[in-house]
Amino acid sequence: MIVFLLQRVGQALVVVFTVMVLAFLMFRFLGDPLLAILGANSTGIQRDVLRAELGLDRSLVIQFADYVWRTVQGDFGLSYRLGTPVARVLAERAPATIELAATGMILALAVGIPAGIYAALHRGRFGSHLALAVSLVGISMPSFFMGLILIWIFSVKLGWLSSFGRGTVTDLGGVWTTGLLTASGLKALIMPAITLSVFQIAMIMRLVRAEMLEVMRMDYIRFAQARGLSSRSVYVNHALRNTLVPVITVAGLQLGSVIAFAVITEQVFQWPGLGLLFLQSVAAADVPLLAAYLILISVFFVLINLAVDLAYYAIDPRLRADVAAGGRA
Amino acid sequence: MSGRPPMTLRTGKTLRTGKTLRTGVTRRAARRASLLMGAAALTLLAGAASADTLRIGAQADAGTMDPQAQNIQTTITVLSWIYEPLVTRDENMAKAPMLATAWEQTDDTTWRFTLREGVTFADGAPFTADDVKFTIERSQAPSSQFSGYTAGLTVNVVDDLTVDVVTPKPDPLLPDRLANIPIMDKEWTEANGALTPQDLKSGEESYTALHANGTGPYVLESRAPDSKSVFTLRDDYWGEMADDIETIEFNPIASDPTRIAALLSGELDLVIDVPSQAVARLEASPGIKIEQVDEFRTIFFGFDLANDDPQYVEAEGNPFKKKEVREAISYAVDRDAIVKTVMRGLASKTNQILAPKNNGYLAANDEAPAYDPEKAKELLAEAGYPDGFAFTLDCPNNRYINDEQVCRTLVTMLSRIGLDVTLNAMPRAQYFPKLWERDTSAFMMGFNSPFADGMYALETMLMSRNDDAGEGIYNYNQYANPELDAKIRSARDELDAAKRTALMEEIFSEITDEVLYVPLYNQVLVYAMKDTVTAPVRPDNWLEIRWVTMD
Amino acid sequence: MKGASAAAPVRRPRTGPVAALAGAARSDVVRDLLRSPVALLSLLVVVLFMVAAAFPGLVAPHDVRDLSSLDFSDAFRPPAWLEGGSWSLPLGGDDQGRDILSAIIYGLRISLFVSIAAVALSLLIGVALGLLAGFRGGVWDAIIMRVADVQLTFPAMLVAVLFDGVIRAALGQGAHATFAVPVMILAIALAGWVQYARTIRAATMVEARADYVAAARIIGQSSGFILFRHILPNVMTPVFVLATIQLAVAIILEATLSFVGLGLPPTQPSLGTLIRVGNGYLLSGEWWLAIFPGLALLILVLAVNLFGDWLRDALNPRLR
Repeated sequence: MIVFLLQRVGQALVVVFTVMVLAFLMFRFLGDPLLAILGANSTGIQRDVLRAELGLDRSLVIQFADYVWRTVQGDFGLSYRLGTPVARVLAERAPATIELAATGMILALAVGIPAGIYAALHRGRFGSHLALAVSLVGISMPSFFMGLILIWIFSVKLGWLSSFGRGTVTDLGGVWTTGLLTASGLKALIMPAITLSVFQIAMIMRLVRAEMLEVMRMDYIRFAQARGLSSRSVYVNHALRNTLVPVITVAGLQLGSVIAFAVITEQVFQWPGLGLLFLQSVAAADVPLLAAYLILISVFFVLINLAVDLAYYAIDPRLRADVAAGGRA
Repeated sequence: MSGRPPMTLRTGKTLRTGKTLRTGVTRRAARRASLLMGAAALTLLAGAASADTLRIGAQADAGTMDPQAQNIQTTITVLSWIYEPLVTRDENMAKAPMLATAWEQTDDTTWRFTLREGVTFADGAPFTADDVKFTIERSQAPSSQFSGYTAGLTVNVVDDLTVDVVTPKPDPLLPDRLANIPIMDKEWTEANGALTPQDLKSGEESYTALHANGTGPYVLESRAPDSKSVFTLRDDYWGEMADDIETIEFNPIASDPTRIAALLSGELDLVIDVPSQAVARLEASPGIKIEQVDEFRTIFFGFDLANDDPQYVEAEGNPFKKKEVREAISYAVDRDAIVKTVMRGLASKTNQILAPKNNGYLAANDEAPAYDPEKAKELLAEAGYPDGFAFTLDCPNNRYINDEQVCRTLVTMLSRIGLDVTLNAMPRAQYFPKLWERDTSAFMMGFNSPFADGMYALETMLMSRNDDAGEGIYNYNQYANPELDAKIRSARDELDAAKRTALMEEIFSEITDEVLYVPLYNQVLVYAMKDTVTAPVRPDNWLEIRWVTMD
Repeated sequence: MKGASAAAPVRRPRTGPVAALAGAARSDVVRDLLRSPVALLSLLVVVLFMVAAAFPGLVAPHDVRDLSSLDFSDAFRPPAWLEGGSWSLPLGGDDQGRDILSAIIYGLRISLFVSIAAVALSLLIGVALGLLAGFRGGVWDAIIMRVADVQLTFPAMLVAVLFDGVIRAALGQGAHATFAVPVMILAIALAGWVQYARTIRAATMVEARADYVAAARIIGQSSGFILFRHILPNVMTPVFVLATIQLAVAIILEATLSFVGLGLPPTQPSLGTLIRVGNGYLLSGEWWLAIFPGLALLILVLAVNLFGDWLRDALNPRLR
């Protein structure tokens, strides 16, 4: 257990370190900071002076150590584009993305799991075929195209839903802003959340169906049925429970992909989250912000993975035996 | 020239719309009373906020809250709700008093400004002559993009409400220049350590990037860059307002269709960057109206006229240096088609870089060559490029109305005369720095001469580059012609207004004849808004919040 | 690992990847295909799209690459069946007077080129590393699989967006236009190689212990020979299934990157770029600029997914 834990944490640290090296190289070598500050007409002497002031004449290793030290303290420097500390910009934008991703994920689970169970239990019927067909369209539909069509129908043609932004947000103690407490905030959330969740709904539905079918072929289900237990009790008590373990694991991992897809959704609906910020920063070549985003998102993903690994380890006894025997997980 | 132009707006009892100017005070008082009515007021507030909030949609955000850091119209417009200059413009674009009540020229180079009494900044500090001196000197810093307006000025405080501004040379345009310099409070700025304008690329955060303190009608309530800025009305604003809209929300929405959809679905009240293709759709929509005016902005293309081997041109030598090649490009552009199809008729074609109603404009120079690809090919052959050549065209994709579409159309049109053009479209945040570094061989440009006078265009776009004098700072074609420089200088220094205009007309004619730029059209500026909103459009695309009303 | 079991029925020594394909196309699979109308139809659609993309000159009504042939009076012409439409531009005209149908076909060519190249590249990287890890084991295996784990941490979409975004910032706008296609291929390929590496590694480990490999070793064949002549052909089946599914992902990635402006420039319009440009006219009534390329994209991805689904089931003996 301890070995496994240390192994995973060590691996996570290696990932974060690698990303920090990448971010540092980007920060240091993309776009000449001297030129950016002094302008193209600056003289060589001016540049030398500034180089010393900024500590850019020290060895790369020391500069990197300095960079890591500042990063750990949450100092990512100033955004070229906004002129404000990167950390503050990220903190301001994060609630929007987290609320959107969480809503999308909840929606995906709430729709995807029942739909998957339905499709598995009614295998071969029309409803099941329909659900599968719809899910395939969901997987094949690029989310940006979906967003465009939703805006076209529900904002422009019908005028029901909000097409941009978060509506009215409430500030909770200066650390979090939420759109969930106002009518306009909830209204603004509907289309982005749907756009974001369509792919996930389809994924989860197919996964639940496949797992459920697999489990239902297992002997103990057959035995339970043979023993005369009602199908309802068999499904709920045995099949579903065994299905949900891998589903929850996958859902955890999918949370990462939801954050990734949020970049696109945020662009289409001009949702003021981290994804939109990233695209705006790319457009403006705002290197400090890009580097910080890279680190932040990596740490986030590493944490999710770590959590999923540990959860899996706790749930699945076979894995424990495997690790103990030195096998590869 | 003593400045007391008629105060069309402020003293007039009726606006253009025929609506009676409301006193505002009573309504505000009533609202305050209702606030005192107890717990219910809190819920009422949420409902009332939307009724008395003007939600504005625009293509991009103001880059900063520092009034002297970024000379881009969106930033200038938004900051004009908070900050005010000495001199402003009325709806006919004539100069009108703002923080100065009067100004006169006391000798060739000295201007005396009488300041308005009883004006306070939002933090309560009184507005005085010291603030004027401080602000003008601050705007002369290298990190200011407004130094072009104030280079070389000295300010002498006469008393608390009188300042003398001394120009290095006789300058009849001084009050016009100062119309672009919003006044900051000396004490507030010093106390917050923002002595120089925010340098958008420096390593230090400037207090003024996110905070503002002006004499204007609104104060900055909250700001989330790129997402939403909220402004609230001051109770103690000195001036008159056409309405008393309590709150203004400024929403930058980069995506054209999303921005228009938001207006159509009622989430916005006013959109100030309307793509031409959406105008017909908006006009046909119930509850939405369009206001338009011929903008002072001319769209044209420029080419590297200096280097012998331009970086982004694949050809023997620099073809753009040959007048025939530039003429050929002008002949190859079907301006009528661009105006009709891309701009949907919301533009007027032209052949000069100055829009009508500007001093120096000559209607004759608008006469563009008729579309004639054959003639263009002949000219190319004459210049020694019978098979054309290849080059890269740099183009912004979020700055001017339909900028990228116009560029794509140009690429298509030039392909007909054998020019193989690669389009390099990019966001303005990358485009203008690239142009500033003169890292371009062909580019699109839209220019708006700030004081209804062509001199600024001549000085900044055609003179040889001299940053200290503010000359040639925007000559992205790197043109350098001492003869032309001398002509422009003599026009600039001419004190006789009629003679000066004649000289400028002559210079603009020469520019048109030499095809130093290839002009396409003058933009028509369109604002779209709900029926309940009235927002007169100023031809320099400056949304004057003091004129806006909402029912 | 499912891939390993999928490889099981073809565990006979074969030579060359062509033979592996032949293995996938065993007669029972073909019989299956003929019996499944959905699979047949989706295969037909995919082939049709690919042929159109390969020979646009034969299929497209106009050569839209020749800008000088465009007629501005055709700009925004509605689709043929609407008022003002014309059959010379069956799906209408875009803002330059370009025939939308032809633009879609040429856009398809670029989209498919980028995504197929990306899938091929990620397949190459993934298979090579997977073989190395599976066959050599030890340190190689540990390093490759740890890198794969790290890479798997990030969703493909994010890898592609980050990579493309960072390279774009690094190269600057001017240079990026020139390198847009290779950068995109690399971004999408980097996002996808792990799947192949893991599948191949698992299959290779199974194969490496098989009797025929032991026999080959005994008669003194070199490792490389064994790897490429014996093992590779036998582990390719799951890879082809994976490649089909990954193609759908790659097509969507390309379109998405182009749509958010990280992809191909408007002068080389891929399907995603066409949708991005058309998006600007969606609200002004000229819906055909965005909707038709969007539908083409949707149909293509749907067909690839349907076929991939069917292929996976057909080659997975457990579901037979």
